[in-house]
Amino acid sequence: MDIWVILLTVAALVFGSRFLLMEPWLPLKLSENVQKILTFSAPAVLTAIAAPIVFIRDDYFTLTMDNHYLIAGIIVVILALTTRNTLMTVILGMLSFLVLKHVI
Amino acid sequence: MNQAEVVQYSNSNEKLRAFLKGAAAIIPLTVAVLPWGILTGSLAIESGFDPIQSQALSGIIFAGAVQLAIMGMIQTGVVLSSILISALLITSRHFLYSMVMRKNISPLPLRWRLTLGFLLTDELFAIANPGQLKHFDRWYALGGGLCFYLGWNLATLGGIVAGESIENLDALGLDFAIAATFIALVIPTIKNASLLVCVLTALVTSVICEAMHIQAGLLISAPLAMLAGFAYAKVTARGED
Repeated sequence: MDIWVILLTVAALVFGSRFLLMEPWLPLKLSENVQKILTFSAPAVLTAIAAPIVFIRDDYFTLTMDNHYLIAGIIVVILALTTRNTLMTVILGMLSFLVLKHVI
Repeated sequence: MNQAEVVQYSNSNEKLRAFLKGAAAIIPLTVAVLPWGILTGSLAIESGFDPIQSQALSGIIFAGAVQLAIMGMIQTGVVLSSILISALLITSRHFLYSMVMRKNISPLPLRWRLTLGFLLTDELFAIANPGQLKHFDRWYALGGGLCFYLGWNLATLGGIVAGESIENLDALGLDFAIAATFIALVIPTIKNASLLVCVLTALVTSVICEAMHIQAGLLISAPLAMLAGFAYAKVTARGED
């Protein structure tokens, strides 16, 4: 698949999502339920992308200590809960992943 | 329309001042995303995009989470329809932002609607929404939006350059970086039980889909999780009445 086709299609989609509903000719109003459902979109999608990276190793659900992704993932969760600082969480989380991968 | 709320300037000095004020307001948010921009640039190279395509991700899509999701999905060889629906789900919050900004931006001329629409990120919304900015000012919004756009794209460029010169990016565990980034973004947003239900549903269903080799797993798990969170919120709200 041509990467430019993907890029331009996604760009048009993202732009549309930002632009369309501000157009004066559009009388659209999202129902309260739809708005409420949309508030769950970011956590739902981001989690559904991240979880398989953390839990699946070589096609198998891997819940063991030698799954560095899982251990480092748990560390990231703890960091996120304690530091409340996204940047700090990612930097320390990556460091712990690298230590697990290359040192231990 | 509420014409009274729209600031009108007669001389260009005042426009410039408002523009710079908007830029200044978004500077802290821009600094905070610079590392993400660098990461996004180097991840794009790592995912097999060439430098121009990598820059175009930031230059024409200009949406960090969508960019990261595309890279992840292209790496695993997902079909275009899955990419589009995932992008639509991730970007759907912008529908809410534009709904909120509608009363301020819809009276503007088309070139302003196109420009501010393109620049309407989480960060621009954060500084220019009606709660923050009592009297909407198009020059203020333009200054903030362009400043953020410039910062994001320069950071991406830095990441592209670094990604090309660092030899074994794989050993740096950048696939884990996507997971770490998303976890770090999601955890602070879990502010109530319905969001927890949503996140746990997404976690369990996405892992099951992946283990079962379901290609469009995201299209199953993400909507299920959104509905689960919504259903939980509905049921518990009714219980409180």
